[in-house]
Amino acid sequence: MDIRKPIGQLFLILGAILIIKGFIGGTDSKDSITVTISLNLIWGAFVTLFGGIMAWLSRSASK
Amino acid sequence: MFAPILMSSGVSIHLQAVDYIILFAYFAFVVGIGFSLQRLNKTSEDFFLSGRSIPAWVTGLAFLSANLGAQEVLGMAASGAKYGMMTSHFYWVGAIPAMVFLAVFMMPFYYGSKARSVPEYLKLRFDEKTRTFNSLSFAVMTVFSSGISLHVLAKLLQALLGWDYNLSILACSAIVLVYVLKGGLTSAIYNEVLQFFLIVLGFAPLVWLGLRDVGGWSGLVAKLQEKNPAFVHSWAGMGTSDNPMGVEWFGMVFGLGFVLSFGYWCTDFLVVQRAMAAKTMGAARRTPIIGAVPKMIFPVLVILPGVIAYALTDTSWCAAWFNDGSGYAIPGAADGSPDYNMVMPSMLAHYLPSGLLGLGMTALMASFMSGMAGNVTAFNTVWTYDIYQTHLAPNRDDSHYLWMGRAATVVGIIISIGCAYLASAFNNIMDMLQLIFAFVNAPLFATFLLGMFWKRATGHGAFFGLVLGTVGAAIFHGLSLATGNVAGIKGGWILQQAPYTYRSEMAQNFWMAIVAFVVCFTATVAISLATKRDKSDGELRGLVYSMTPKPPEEGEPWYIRPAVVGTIVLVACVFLNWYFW
Repeated sequence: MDIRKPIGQLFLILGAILIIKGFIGGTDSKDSITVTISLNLIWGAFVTLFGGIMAWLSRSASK
Repeated sequence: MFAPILMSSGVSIHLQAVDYIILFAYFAFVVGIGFSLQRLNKTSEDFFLSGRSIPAWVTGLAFLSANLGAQEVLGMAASGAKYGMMTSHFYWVGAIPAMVFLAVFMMPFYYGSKARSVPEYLKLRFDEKTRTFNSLSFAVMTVFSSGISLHVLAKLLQALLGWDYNLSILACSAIVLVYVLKGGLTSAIYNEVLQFFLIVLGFAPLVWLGLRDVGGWSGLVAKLQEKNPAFVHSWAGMGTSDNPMGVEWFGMVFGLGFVLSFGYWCTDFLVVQRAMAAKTMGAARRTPIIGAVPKMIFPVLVILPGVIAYALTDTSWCAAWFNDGSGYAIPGAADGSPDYNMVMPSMLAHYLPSGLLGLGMTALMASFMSGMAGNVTAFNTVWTYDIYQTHLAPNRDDSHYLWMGRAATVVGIIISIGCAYLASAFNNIMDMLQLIFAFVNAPLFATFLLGMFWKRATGHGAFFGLVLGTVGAAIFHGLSLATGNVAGIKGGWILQQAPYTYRSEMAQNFWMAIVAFVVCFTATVAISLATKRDKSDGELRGLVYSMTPKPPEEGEPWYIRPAVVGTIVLVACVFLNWYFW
């Protein structure tokens, strides 16, 4: 088993969860930066990108 | 090696549904990896050594992650808040040089000798008694270490989330049991890689938010200069022991940087096992170097949050730590002193919004469970190969040892649970065991060093050198004490007016390691010279440096040659030490 596959899948799921939370969760009073941007949204996008790269690498290697 | 026993401060975290979803998604993947690897474990070598089939980048990250247990994540943040930039010594002095040394010089012997464990190398190089001494102490140490990790995790979950202690113990050990039992070492290694990325992605937002809060890097340095200039430097105050760590440069370089660091990274089977699972000799040699690169920058993730926490906390009135307006303060313990162990959890609770908080907490839990799994996989291998197969049931077929490995995994987890409860009931017993393990481990590197680089070292020399080094460590401990400590388990139990006093326990431990190393080294040399050589040159081929052909590197591109990349890593490490001088 190529470890990049489960890593990619897990981080795609976690990234998606953070993005959804960022969209529907609004801002969080804990951090002043979320007044203008959502941390969950930004970091969720980054985590999704990382998961996507891992999944793509695994797929490329298996071909 | 062991994490401090937690914790009394009133930090609590309220997880929301999204945080639990993240947590359970991770657990589902961890267990799923174990099940999907089950079919690959057909022989004992598959189960204990991953069939020696893992690529270097995976074993390299697992090599690093096997060490990312409770001490690394909670302990280094705590040290960052307590000692500042000096904590980087545990990385740039106490890890990187040893990892490079392992890759360039020692790995060819471990991997090339076809030994299945570090104690087995001792058998091949010296004799059975030296192997048995090492394997017994290692087996006991790993299950106790695993139990303490479990205890600290359950206490943390109880304190932060209000989870039931017993339920936390059972749930976490059941998860570790399932994925190690099903997938063996491969499963443990794969989950360690998963944990590595989880820690990086889970803690990176915390560092960014903390730095932003303190005014960026320049703001952090300015605040530290104002509060305690020693916190900005790693070496500047180390001419004497009058610095936050209470350790002078020689104790740091020789005690931590040489004896303890090389003893851990080069001889502890928990980490070396990851490199031994690599698919080729080249991959095995690259493993520690691949681990060394992220290790060099890991202080940003685990120490910097602690330093930021210190900078944000008003320390002008130590009895009641209150914040300076930024909103964050290091939590206080019941007696009013700062509870450094809670720095990382309190930073997570303070800065991360729900969602990211789930990711951060998952990373924290993953580090504990991965540390426990690392100990269990090392235990089942040493038990099965070095104790059971050698002394109790030799010459059985391979399927029997595979079965025994799985049984040892179950038993190892059960003993770990027992140790967790022991730790919760009797702190002193655990302190005592920790101390005994320190005595046993301190001289070990001298034995390996002489074994690998001096062909005249004999089995009797190695065994009695180890025993005398252990005794030397114990005697030194009984004659030394750190300022402020009472004679007893902390030292001074031979003479209450201890002739050797140190400014800190850390300095006392570093010097104890130095004494143990010197005693073991000297005794091994003396006894070896006084006894007859027990191995011929032919028998030492592949086990001793001067008797072994150097691994060929010609034809390999420079960027995968261990000596070249190792030199680059060392130069980078020297630069970091200079930059933060």
